[in-house]
Amino acid sequence: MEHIRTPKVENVRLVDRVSPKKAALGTLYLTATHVIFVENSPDSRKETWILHSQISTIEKQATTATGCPLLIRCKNFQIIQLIIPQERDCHDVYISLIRLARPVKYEELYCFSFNPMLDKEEREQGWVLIDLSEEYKRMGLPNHYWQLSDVNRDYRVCDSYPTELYVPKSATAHIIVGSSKFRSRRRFPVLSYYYKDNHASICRSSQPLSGFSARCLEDEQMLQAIRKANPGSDFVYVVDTRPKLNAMANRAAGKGYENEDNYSNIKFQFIGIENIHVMRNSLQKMLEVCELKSPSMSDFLWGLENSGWLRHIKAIMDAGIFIAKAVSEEGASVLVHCSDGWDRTAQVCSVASLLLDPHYRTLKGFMVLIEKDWISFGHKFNHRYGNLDGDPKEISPVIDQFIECVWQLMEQFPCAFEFNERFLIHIQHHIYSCQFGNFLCNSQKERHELKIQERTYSLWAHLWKNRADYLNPLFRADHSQTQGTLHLPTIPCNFMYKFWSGMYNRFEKGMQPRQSVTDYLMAVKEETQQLEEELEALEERLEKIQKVQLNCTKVKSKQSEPSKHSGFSTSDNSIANTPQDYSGNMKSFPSRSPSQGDEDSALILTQDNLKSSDPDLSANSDQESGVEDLSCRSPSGGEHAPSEDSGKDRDSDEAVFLTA
Amino acid sequence: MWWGGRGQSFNIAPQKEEPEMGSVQENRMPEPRSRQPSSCLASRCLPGEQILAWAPGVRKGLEPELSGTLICTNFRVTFQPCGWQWNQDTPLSSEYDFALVNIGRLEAVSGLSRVQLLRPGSLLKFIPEEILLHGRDFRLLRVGFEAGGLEPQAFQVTMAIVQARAQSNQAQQYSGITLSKAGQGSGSRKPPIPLMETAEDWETERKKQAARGWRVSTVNERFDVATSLPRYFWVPNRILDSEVRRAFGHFHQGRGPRLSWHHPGGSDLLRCGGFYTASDPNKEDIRAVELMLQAGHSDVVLVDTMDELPSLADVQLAHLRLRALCLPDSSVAEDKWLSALEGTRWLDYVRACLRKASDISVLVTSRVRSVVLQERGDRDLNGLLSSLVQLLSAPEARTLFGFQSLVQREWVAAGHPFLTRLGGTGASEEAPVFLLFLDCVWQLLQQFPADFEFSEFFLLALHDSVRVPDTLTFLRNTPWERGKQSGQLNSYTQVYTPGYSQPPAGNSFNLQLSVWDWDLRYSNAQILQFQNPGYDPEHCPDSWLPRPQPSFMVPGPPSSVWLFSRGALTPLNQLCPWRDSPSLLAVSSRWLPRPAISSESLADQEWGLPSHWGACPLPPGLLLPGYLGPQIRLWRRCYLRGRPEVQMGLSAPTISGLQDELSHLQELLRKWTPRISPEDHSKERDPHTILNPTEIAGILKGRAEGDLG
Repeated sequence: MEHIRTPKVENVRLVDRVSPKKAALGTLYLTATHVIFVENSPDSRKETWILHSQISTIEKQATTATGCPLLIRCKNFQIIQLIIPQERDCHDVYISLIRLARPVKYEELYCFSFNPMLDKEEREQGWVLIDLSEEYKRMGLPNHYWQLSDVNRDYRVCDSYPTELYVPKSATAHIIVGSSKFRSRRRFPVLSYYYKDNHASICRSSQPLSGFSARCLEDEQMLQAIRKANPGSDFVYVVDTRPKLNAMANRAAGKGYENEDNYSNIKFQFIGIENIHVMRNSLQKMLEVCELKSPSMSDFLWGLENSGWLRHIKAIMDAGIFIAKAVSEEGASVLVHCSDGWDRTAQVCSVASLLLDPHYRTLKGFMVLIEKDWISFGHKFNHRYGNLDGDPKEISPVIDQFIECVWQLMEQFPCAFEFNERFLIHIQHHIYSCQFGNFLCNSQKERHELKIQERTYSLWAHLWKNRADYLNPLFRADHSQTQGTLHLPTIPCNFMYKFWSGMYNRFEKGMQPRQSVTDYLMAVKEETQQLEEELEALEERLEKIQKVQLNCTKVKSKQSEPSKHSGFSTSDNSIANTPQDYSGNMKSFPSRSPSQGDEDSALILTQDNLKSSDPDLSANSDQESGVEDLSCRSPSGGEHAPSEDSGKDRDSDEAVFLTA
Repeated sequence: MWWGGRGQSFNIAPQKEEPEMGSVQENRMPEPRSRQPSSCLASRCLPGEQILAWAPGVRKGLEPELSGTLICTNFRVTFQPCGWQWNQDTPLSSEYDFALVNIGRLEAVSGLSRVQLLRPGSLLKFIPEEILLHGRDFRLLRVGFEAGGLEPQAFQVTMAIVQARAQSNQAQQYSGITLSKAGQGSGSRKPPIPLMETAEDWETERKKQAARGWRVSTVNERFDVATSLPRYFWVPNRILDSEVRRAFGHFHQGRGPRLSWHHPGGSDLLRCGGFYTASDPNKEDIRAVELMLQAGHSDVVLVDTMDELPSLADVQLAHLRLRALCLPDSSVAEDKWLSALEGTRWLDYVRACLRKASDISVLVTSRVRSVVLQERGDRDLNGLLSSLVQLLSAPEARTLFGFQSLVQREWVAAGHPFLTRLGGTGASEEAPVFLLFLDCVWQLLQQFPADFEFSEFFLLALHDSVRVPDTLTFLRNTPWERGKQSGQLNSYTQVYTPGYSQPPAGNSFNLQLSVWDWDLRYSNAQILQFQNPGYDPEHCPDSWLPRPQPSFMVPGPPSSVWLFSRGALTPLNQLCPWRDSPSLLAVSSRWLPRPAISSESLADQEWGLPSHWGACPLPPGLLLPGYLGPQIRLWRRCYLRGRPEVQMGLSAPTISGLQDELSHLQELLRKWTPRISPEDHSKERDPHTILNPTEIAGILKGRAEGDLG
């Protein structure tokens, strides 16, 4: 709080980005965690919340007659322009935000103060929801070829790796340690994904310290061991995801890439994915296009092309496709690395896994994938996403690109993913929000030392709790397209990859289609499910009625036994969802907001759901409708008041019975 | 497509197998090993159609490959898969027919490297192993020929296509299929879309629009005012037909001001041609012209339709470039695709049309006035804008029926020269304005998926129908030509003459089919997909703002007259150009930057809101489309059809699985329904729910296939 110079400024104007002449008058509040703008207009009192950790840049522009403009760009691609009447206030807000947006200690981050009102047990359960040892078991490990190694216990060999690592059985501790000394930051080759069907695997590491001529016997043995762990193939692909020029430049620094002459039976391959600096600039260029006030067709298309963003996305996808093909079609194992093996390597391994394994295309599987390839293997979340104040040159949208790759795949395989676009957008949001502890720090070791699991909450539990909002209504687990490997053409067709308006323009409500197809489908699906349930229940009942009729004829003049009758009324509870019930449901669906739950204030950006009837795919949320959702989503769940309906039904049953 | 797929219901030319085979043999066709294909086809020919050559071949490029027969007739090239029954409802039907005019490029391939581009009149230099037909409608047909003694046939069919294309300006010969009333199918024929060929149609439509100040004029009944105008149109009540005739003479090609659409709020949307500046009207004529433009309103806006919109040549060039870009072997470098797309200008033209239409709908809605669309010819962009404005402002126009009626009224009946614009006559004025319009509609569908009853599939079907020689709807330039052909004029003179080739049987008469008879070419399953499953007409509450209808005729001259140009209203001194000022249209200068004042949209000026903003207090029923760069998208499912790899994801095959599942559920429900005794009160409401799964099935299928692209 000591950084807040002015907690409240009145008569601030929030400028409408599209028509700058209009602006909402309101009050600006600075809190320890959020910037909040509340509109004055009495009927709406619209609120805009911005989490400090989402703030990317703050720009104080030249004072005009109307006041002092302040431009806030957010990491989730929101842009806020405020006009503060007094220059002095503006300066205070500016200075405060500069400091608040760049915390220097982890303890300043939102997740340490965020309290979703869960007890200790619930929090702990949240952290074990995603369990990597379970995941390796699912892959079929340990087995005859692969074993869990304890060589990195207490992070003795490599401090950016996790403690639990799978390595080939034939790789002894001596080989591993030897190999680790020959790899950048000691990130030796370990298993990332094991393809049960043919024993091929995807392994990952950092670049070898080969320079121009250095060799390392243990490292060569390590690759040999990986090859031997796959009896189906007599070679291993080594994929260097960097452009060849970059890799060669590294040789001068005593690093570089594997020499095919030194390693027996490897096939070496470069895949030119650019480095984090190129990607950062590319995103910057694309966002400049998104920021244009009224882009013409050529502004947009030229800008998008010149940013090169989609070209980079394609490069990552191509690498993933190459690896997936090598594993599934050629049955060969692949060792992937870039320089340090935590950016491009993570992208490429996870794209390949996603293509290969349908499990990763489910809600839980996707969480596991991020947990495995990104969090556990030491992707530097803190540096890349600037959670703490640091070197701006370290910041780069690495995982954003992966998330976009997933979206591009979803566009091409609409039935293959259990989750929807909103799921991806919310994950992206929380990678920057620091509201949950999952993405803190740069490695497992640091998180361990910080006791993240004891002090913060897990995003995965939160997403899982609200999974109904993240389901893709088109997902078909049983379809041939969604089983096994997804097959993508590698032929050059750049137009396969599209601009993701739902992500980069998600706060430009006018840019999105007015009605959400996904929401509509979800509602239809919900309705179908209820119909199905109703059908089942009615069939059940019909059976009973027929049975009773039978009894009735048997018993003839005698009235039915009371016991039988009461049996009826209890079974009727399940039928209580009448058409009226779900037609009510249908009506309520357009107002459903992405249920971030009531506690999730970080996502509350604009509370205008009252005004708009549009189902909103963006991250807007409001607490009330979130609560409302929960109540209206489960009318079939049996928590609804059964008394009225079942009473009515019993009556009608009686009528049936009497006529029978 | 399967001609005569409905058995005897079509009045198809009698089997002239013998003479046709004769003509085939004249073409030095070797004795076919089996007469099956040609004899089979002969019975499916259109009136006047002759088979020129055929060869067995394999359809390639898509999985699975299909073997069948490639047939060239004097109208079209068609591929018939083997074992495909004519009478079966097969989704293949509309896939493999290429009208000769539709062939944009023909290539013969031999081996890996020998490719010859075959222009009309060129000579094939080798025996082709494969030929590629690139449609102007962006479809691609690849047919491979089998080796083994049939090479001469492959050669012949290819040459036959080349020759037939050279003489293919035969669109005038197409007479269209007629339906015999005596035939079986007539009973089941649904009430068609009003063709606006009778006075009753116009009167019905006028009443529907509640255009009380207007009447149907019969002045053009004999097409003597203008052949490009429909026989009937709407003029103000007060104007006599003799005045109409005189007034229309002062407009380009006699196309004077007529009502297009009456806004329920009171405004009128009119369209007319350019003032005929060379004429020298007298005082009464000027008065009549002014009265007609004023349409009883005190506020009149003349819209210069051509201002800020592409010219016909621009449209044509953009379309050609777009087609070149979308060819599978387009040489555009991978990372230059977006700028190449921009370079076609097509999307920019779409954007310009949407912006202008949006502005005009604001003009029509915001105030009660007369809005006159004025284009020199009144046959191209006027139709495009008038239709778009109605789609934006009238919810009825967004239904399947409404949209088809709209196209019939504003394009077909209004005399859009389809044949010329779509290249059917080989004349120089080719420009696919109608296809530009369809793209605009597709954009609206993307932006407002719940507001349209029809789906992308419907637009595609319409897109693919413009050159198909089965009905006359799009194969004539004017209502007069269409009427002449269909024998409709005869009914006017009360004399019946037989149709094309069939002597009338008994008291039956021939009913000309139109493009709206979809079951000619599309199976029921396909027609089902025309419905947009996401359509939710209730999503915006009742359509119209209840505004008091002003008294219709305002006495005296209009109090304000405006010219709408470059996004802004400029006051005008007078409506007509003849008294002292030069023609208004001469003033317009196209493609100039908008003046600063109109950098904000008209909606912004009128209601103080940006037009592309989301939920805002717009008048109910009015849609304002977004037209910023990122909001205009490429219609991939249409333009990239030649590249199957792109289509992945656009049609999700699994949705059909979902549909199966749902129909299973529906089946269960149905099975279960009759078992309920009628006296079962608790279940009486179920028939209502039975409807839902049907809808849902359609919904999920169409939706997933349609909109995830």
